[in-house]
Amino acid sequence: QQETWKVGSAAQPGSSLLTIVEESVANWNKVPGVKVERQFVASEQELAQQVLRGRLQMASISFAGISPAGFPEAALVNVPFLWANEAERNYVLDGTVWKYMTRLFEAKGLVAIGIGEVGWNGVVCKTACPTPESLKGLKARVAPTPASRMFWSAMGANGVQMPLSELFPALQQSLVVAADLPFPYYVTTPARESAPFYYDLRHLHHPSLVVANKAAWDKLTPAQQQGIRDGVLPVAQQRKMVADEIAEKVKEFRAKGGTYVELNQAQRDAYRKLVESKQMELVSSMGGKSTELFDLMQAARREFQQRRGTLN
Amino acid sequence: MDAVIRSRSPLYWSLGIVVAVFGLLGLFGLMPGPKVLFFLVMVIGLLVLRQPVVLILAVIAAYTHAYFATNSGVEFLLQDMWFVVNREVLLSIPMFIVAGAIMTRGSIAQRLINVMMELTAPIPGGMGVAAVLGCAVFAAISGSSIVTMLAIGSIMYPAMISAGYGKPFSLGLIASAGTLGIMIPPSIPMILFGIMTEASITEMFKAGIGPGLLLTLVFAIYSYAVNRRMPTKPWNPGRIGTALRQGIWAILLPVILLGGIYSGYFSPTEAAAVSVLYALLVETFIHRDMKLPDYGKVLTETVGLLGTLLPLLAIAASLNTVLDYEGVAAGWVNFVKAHVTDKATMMIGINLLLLVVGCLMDAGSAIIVFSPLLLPLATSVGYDPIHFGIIMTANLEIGYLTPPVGLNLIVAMAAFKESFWTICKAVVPFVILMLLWLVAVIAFPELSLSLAR
Amino acid sequence: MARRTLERVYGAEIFVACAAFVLVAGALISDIVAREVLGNGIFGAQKFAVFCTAVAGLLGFAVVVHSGGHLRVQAVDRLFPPAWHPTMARLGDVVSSGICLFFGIYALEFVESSIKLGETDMVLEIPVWPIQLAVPYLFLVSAVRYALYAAFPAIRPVEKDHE
Ligand code: NA
Ligand code: NA
Repeated sequence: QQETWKVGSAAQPGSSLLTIVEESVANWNKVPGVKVERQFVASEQELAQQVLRGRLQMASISFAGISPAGFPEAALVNVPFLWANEAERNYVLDGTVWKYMTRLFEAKGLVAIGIGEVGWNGVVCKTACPTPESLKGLKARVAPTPASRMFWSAMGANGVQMPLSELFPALQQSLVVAADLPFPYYVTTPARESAPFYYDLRHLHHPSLVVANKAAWDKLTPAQQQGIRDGVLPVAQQRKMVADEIAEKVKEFRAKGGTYVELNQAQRDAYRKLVESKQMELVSSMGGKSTELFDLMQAARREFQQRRGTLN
Repeated sequence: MDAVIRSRSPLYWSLGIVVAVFGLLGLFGLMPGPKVLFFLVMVIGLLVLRQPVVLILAVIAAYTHAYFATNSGVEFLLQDMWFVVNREVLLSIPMFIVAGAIMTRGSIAQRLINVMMELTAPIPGGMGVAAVLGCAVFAAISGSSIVTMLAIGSIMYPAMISAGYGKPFSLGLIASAGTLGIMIPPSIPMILFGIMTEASITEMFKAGIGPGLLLTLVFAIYSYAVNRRMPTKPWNPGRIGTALRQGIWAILLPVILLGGIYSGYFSPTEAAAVSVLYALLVETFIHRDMKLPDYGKVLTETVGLLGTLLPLLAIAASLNTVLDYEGVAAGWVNFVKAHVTDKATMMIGINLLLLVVGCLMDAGSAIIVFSPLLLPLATSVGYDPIHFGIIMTANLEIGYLTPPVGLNLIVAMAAFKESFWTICKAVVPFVILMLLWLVAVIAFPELSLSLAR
Repeated sequence: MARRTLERVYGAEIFVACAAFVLVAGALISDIVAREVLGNGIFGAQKFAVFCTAVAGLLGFAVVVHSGGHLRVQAVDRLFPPAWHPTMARLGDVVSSGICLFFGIYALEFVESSIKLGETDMVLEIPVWPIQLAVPYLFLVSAVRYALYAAFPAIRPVEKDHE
């Protein structure tokens, strides 16, 4: 019988992310001799340290959250407008990126168990901001990541970097008039009322992962380890859960008078054009083996496009 | 009288530490055993061996990590301390302390005091009322009780002392009115409550207005009542005019701060740095009361204050993490659940629990840990989630004033250079008022809900 | 000699901590000016200010040791005859020194693991260990201070009255 394990997560109640973690926990507890509890940890940077140093045995964490813990390469997946479409993204992310990152994690005492989905960011505004031009000069909240900084500077916005807890009063007082947030989170905050315009840019995608502390992991039997791997919800199912959640919340948001704008390919491309020239610069600034992984990712994309070509 | 208090205070100190130690042990459900016995002997030994409180607390925390917490160790105390100093919330505290120190050493504070004294001359307790209203106004732009207390207190505390208000009353009023910061929206704990329970943060904000204004009124009336025998003078237009003229640059400070935040030029946290810059410019170039060595003294003083404050906050935060990870919270909530059945005793049980929690945890951590556990209990006996969120915030607001972990007490100790014990005593009447206010907040849901819906 | 060295170290600590405060105010103000006047805020200004505050606060601990300002339950002293006090104060300094050394070693290990893991700051993209070094510094320097007070009671700071 194993001591009770804790899996840390910053997932908030009501999010599909939390449902995903809870269902995985339930699956893990069915494995003979395994006992796992969820532990809420508000800051993902702290969560990453807790699992690396062995205070927590497991973590469900976003790539952005684990990146500062010595894995700069993980932030590559957050490069704005990185992917041509979701099929390509899934192919490269679940294959090349996952394999590469698994090795990096292993080298620093983490075992990568499964990949997951958080969602993507869209742009939030106090007044209508339907085009890239309309973002120019706007005071916009920049999240504490290089990707967010790159996106807003590419838009020509007046970036104001602040922690999330300061964002809602800041939107109310017009200290900032724009921000980028995942929709399911946005609708539960006062931003929904003080900034009622949401544009589904999908410029920034957030994958997540489940990792275990290697020292703890090695105490499990191979059968238990396999049981835990099998207990993670399949990533396809996670992606569907997140999409369903958004669809449902959009309906609710519109019914309450909010403006939710879905963008078509041409509209997205207008934003994409502004950031594309800055992608490489961002990648090479990231450090670690980011450029190596990025090259592999590019190769995988070409491979995917060729394959799709032959299939068609 | 003073001598009596002086000779008694060691007793209270020791008593307080023993209670804290037992409380900590009780939290972990530990029965007296060899580990616990050794723990107690060690703490008493450290006291006898003249160890500073901060080192004793550090040893207590290290011992807790090493022997009481599962899967932890001393290294995680160090890690938790780093987490605390690496957070943005810390930023405004030293800046407001520096600004306050510059204004007090220079003449901004005195000039503001003169204006305030002239304006409130005919009202007994008028300056106390002004301090309360100042906190309420600042609370409407700041989501934090500490920031509210420091922003208003750094000007109003010296003002009240020099206007002849008693030290205990002034300290108590400033520390307590500062807690309005989390009841009057915006409010960081309310944001956390919304995130943790899916309650609408907007509705929480609106629901806080009623109780926040009621508490403002309670404090204002109390200030008036306590000081009703203070000598008053009629308004004197000539002297008001002189005070205003001499104080014009000083009056501009709150105007710039509030105006700057309201019109979106800077955040409440950044306002702290703006007040430092403004005080610096005015004292150096306009009032010319401050010389370079004076600034050295102000900064040196602040370094000492922060050096006293920071380790205490860090150790407290680390113990909170232990409580959280050990599942102590769930144990307590289950205890309440098992022993009560009807709405009234459930609410009493939950409130007693929250008041105890408020002694040990800061409001933010407590909301994160307890709101998902307690909300289902409260709604199961018919409480509205938003109303319950306000009740929780109100309880934890009182927690800012209850030792050992009372953040307004600890920060006030450093900022106003008074002993912890002096401040603890000073807030007692205010805590009693707040408990009565809490009963009203619970008993009259409309107070919260009529604005929220 | 010991006293002069301690005074110099104290002077350096005060200088760094005060400079840190100036940098905090400077960073926050520059950020405001940059975004309101120049049309683009300074990314990372706030995080830089957080690190400066952290350094000032952590050094502050050692500064307070030097000025005898850490809170202590002085009342317990009265349980013992006055003749014992000097000896007990020396003994107390030895114990304080030991406690600080204990935490200093753990703090060093913490920083070492941070270097090994390659932890960086999310905003500034710099390694955090140089800033974390302030933690072992404050404990180790305080350990040395207390040890010197025990060895040379004459240089012990006059304790502030807290009661
Ligand atoms: Na507030
Ligand atoms: Na408290």
